[in-house]
Amino acid sequence: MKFGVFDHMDRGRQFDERLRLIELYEQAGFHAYHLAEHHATPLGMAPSPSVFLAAVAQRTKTLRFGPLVYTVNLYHPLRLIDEICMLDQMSGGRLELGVGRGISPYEVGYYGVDPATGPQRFAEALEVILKGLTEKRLTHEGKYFTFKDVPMEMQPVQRPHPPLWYGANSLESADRLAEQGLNVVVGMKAEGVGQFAARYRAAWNALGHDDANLPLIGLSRHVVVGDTDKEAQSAAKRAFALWYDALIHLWRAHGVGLPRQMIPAEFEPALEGGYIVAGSPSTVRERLKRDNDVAGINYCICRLAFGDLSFEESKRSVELFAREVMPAL
Amino acid sequence: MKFAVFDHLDRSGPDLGRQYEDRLRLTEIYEWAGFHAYHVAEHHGTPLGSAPSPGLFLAAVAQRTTRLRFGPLAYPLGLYHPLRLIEEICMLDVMSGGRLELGVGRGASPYEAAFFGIDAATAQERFDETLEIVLKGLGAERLDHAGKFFTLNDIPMVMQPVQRPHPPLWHVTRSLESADRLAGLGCNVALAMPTHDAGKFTKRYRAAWEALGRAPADMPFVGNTRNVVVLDSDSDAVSAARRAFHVWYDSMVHLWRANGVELPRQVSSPDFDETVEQGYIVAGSPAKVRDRMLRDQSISGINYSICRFACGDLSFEESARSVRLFAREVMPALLPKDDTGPVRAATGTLARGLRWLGDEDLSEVGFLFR
Repeated sequence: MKFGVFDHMDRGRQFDERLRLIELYEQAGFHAYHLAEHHATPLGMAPSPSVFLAAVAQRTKTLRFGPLVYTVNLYHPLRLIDEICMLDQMSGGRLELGVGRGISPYEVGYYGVDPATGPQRFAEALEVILKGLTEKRLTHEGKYFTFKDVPMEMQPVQRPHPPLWYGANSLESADRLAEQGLNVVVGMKAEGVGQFAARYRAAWNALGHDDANLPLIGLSRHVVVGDTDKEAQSAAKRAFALWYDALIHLWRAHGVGLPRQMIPAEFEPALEGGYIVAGSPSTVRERLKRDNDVAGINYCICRLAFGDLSFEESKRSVELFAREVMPAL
Repeated sequence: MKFAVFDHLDRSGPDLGRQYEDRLRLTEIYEWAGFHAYHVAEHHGTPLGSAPSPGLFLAAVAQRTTRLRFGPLAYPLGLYHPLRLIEEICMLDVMSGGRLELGVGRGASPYEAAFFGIDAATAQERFDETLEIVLKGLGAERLDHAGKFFTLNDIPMVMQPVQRPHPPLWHVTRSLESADRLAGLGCNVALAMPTHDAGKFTKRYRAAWEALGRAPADMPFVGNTRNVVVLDSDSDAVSAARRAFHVWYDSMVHLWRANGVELPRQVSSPDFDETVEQGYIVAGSPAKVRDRMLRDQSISGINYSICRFACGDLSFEESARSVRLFAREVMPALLPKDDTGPVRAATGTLARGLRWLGDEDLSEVGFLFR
């Protein structure tokens, strides 16, 4: 079991305190720090995640990090290749490369990208990017992009390319993702993730691959650990409300709800459903242990800073998690 | 008079990770030595520029320094979506407590623009429209724009810069005629011109500035860029400068040659001695560099001295030594006699706070700085 951190960088206590927290993630033994990309919404105050990650590379030595995910359709593929190579070189090969098409029609719309072209454009851009990361010259003739013998001066440290990550929301995608050998963060409840992980693993084995080489399959949860259940849950409840407001901000501004209820709007059902795990070390330990078993994951992703959680609250969470929860998992 | 550094981040060897770290250590030295700002270029598909997304490298610079200002010189606006640019500018400005210097340009190389699928013929129009959007968007609550290349409808500007209304603007130019327009915009200027031409430019810029009724004391920066190598003897410095010049020039000409043409002469002559004669390169002992820079400064009339201390295959030790000697023995002579500002205070002091330079560091660099 590895442990990771996911961060929306939703508006709260920003860059300086986040960087200090990230130093603590490294000390605590987390494997990687994953940062979201959002635009024109308080949900994501690191709209160019690469810029923040370049600072993360300076503040850490061993912690891996990456976007989760680059909204690939909002970049020129050459720009993304350049950024991937720079980050990988500036960190001695610590980049984890999350890719996606961008799920918010409002955000991609602001960039002038027609959401209807999303999947097709994304598939083509990803093909270009992987080709560009692995070849000396880039030639491509497609619907959205044409490249003729462009020299690829920049190269990543990790060959053929940094590990790929993908967000999965459907059980059916497990076969394809296993075939591509992609690391996955599954956006479902523990039971759903359990089905997904079983299917991914079966597909992986059916391809003749070993369990030991299984890519990371992760489940992400809000985690607040405090000295008592009461203290942790009241902080989590307070911060969750702000985070949830940020999550639905652009949808509400356009007069609609979330397209898919990825998480309950109210704190109590979210806590009950395991989307949020908050409490004393023993409460968090028991719940995560149970859910991780049900989910069959090998990557436990925590969101330790969100909403208006103070630096001290998050720091306390990290300390208690590392000391009293991690070893038991 | 302020001093600054320009860096192409041209490729110096096979290990790019090492090069980034060496360059970052140099930015710590620039800060210590009292430099005002560090400017880094953006290039694509060429060994001339290993920071093709300069914002990423600058985010690292922001972590390694506390006072040094920094920025791209310049963002080729046509290669960015304006929203991405606004977001990146705001992030860098916030992450550095308002230390960003915002260089904007059309993009000098038609080949690099073509890689991105941009027709060089549209460069000026794209530049104008993108700059308009960026300046409109920085600090605004919402952004609306209907133009030839971009249509933006009521976009919430969640990201805001620290510096209002926006970070200081910079433009690179080799054209005398642009002086009036840039003075009108109040834009800082980085020239890449022979000394005498720079003199004509600053004169015209200053005249245009005063003709607009603006106070001479508020004049923006007008600087000229030089490759500077200061070592203990003239012969050491000139031979290092000559060696590095050829490597750097090869990077400069790389994409042009790949397309079957030579570098336009006004960008740089391939001949080291001719380039020295024009004043693009100043290399020598501290006394020689001081005399040449004093002379050139009086001819060019600049108020901003932009040095390139790292280029080609200059080693970290050579560049660090250059900066050290420049700060201690050249800078003070180039300052007006009555200057008591931070540059004067910083020059000639010993290295402090360079984290990587331990007390027991007796390596060449450690020794030099104690």
